[in-house]
Amino acid sequence: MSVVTILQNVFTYTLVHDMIAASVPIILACMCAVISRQVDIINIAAEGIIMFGCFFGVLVSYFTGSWLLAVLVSMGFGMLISAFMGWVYLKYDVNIFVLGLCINMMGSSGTRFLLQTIFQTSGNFVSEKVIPIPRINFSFLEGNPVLKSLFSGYTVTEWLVIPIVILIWFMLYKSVWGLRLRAVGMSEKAAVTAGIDVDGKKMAALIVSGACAGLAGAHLSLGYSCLFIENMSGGRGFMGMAAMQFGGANPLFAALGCLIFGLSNSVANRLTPYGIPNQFVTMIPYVATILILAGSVISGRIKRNKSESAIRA
Amino acid sequence: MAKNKSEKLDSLLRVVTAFAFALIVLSIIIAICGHNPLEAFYQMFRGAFVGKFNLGSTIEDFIMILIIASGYSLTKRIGYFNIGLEGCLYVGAMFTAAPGFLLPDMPSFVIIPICLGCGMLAGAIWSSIGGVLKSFFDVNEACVTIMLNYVAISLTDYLLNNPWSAHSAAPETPHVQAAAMFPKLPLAPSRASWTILIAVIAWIFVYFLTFRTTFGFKLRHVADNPRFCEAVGIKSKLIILGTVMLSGALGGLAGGCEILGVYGNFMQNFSLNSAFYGILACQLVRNDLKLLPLSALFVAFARVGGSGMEYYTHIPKSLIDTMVPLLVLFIGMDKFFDWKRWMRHFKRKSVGKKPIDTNC
Repeated sequence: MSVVTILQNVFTYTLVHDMIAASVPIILACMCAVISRQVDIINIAAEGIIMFGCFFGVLVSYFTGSWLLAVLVSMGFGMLISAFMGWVYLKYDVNIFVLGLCINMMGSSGTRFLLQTIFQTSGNFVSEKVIPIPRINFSFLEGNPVLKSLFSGYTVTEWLVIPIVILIWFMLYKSVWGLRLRAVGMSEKAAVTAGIDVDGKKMAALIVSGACAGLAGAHLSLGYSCLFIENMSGGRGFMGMAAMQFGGANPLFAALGCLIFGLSNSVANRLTPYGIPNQFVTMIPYVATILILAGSVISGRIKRNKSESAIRA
Repeated sequence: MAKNKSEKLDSLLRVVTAFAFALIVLSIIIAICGHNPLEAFYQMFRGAFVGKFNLGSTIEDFIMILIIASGYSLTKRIGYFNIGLEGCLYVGAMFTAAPGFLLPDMPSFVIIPICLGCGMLAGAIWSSIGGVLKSFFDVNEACVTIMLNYVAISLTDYLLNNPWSAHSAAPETPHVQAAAMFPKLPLAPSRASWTILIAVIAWIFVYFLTFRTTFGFKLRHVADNPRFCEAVGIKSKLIILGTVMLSGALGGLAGGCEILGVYGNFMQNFSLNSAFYGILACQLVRNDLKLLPLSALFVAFARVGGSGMEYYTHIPKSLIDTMVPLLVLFIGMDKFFDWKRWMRHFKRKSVGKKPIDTNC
């Protein structure tokens, strides 16, 4: 098969739908990283909170049959975990990376334990009683396969992502609350001097980020799929963190970064049947993020050196 | 950091209280699951230490955790959170295995140093990416190294599927030549080998380096005050880079010991976050190098004993896997478990106003 045919099979219009579906959990995880980064906390615990979100989404949906309640419980649980994190971090000054690492490991093994004790299975959990998040289909697009693929068949949470990202951007950059939040992140001492409750702001940011990660988990187990698998987060929390770095903690740019991750994931999935080594495609976003991260820091340093030398001269 | 005796005792007491608290939480969860906690602990102990296979499995785990924890301890001392040890482990394991099956047959004393040397070099180079970015450009190490973990996993995945594939059903590389394998310990069915000597040497090396050499002196001071170090002529950037590379080399060595001591070839996903347990082992004793082997043994005991417990009492092993990070958290927030403070708190409810926090 020639390269052109393979590319034609890979880059079709359905790729857009795949890309968006793959990006949405990453975008939600990314918002978790963005908000906590704005108060100068590097939150690597998204991975663990997503796992708990996935599990509690399936659990509540299974026992109550309500997807809305499941999503809310997942978000609430995410907030609870990040409130605990904030308490431990702010009051007892535990290293935030160690804290995040512990939460991640507990997320992976804790959900396995709950799966084994509550549902008496291991590996994965599928049931017809688990009610997924409904998908929105537009009947007037049925005739046109391209438009149908582009706009129809997304879950409620996938549509919700757009207002969530814009809301977070608005709250961070256009509201007083966000201004104070960013002040805490930029210069903690200045924020204290200005009379801002620093610990309160950090706690608030962590709790909101926990809600985002919990929503990501619920979407992953109830919207993206309709089951629970061990370790189903599959590094999405870290991808979100990478995208946060990519977008410089700005929700809009970071969400764009997530789309790149989603694109590379879906292209890698589509390349697999052709026997092309897809590992390099999966690697691209990580390598790109490292390069962008290094590039932005280095260029910033050169700029600063130039301006300083101008002052001296 | 000279503490007086009563302070040390207090700190020990807090840690013991935290440990006891974690144990109580674990017992309560086991009791809720409908099992006898004492029985479970007994089976856990048996599953980790009694019998050749169990003891061997614990030692097998202990070897890797001790090497990783020694490597992590080095970077921890300069305030560099090396979560990238997992990536170093993968890269080091792959490049330890590669000379083993690519080179022609050689005697053991030639091929083993070549293999381990390649693995350590690969680990050092891999972690130097994060080290250079941290020391010269001040890029946050956690962000970079987490991504490098994924790049390392993808890279080794590519290598074992394409150029260095064994062409068998499972994704794995060919076996290394027989001479490259370490002899096994006399614990027959288990896979533990004499790589335990390497682990102990690595730990002694790190201890000696940190407390008995000029390099160690510099690295202990770089974290405290980098500007002072620059002023007195210690090149703090190079010290940071050197420490990170050494730590990566130890990560690679851990992967190499897994290959040459346990598996014999590189298999897909052979590690499954084991490097993170090494990090936990170091955090558990708060980077106290003297206690490191004890802590590594404890983590290995928890991991292996959990399997034994699952086998005999049907309490899932994942419960123990959840409790180990929780214990690390409890140890980290040990000030919470200061019972003297609680006593004071209960004695006089009105403690008075909080003093003004001067250093924000």
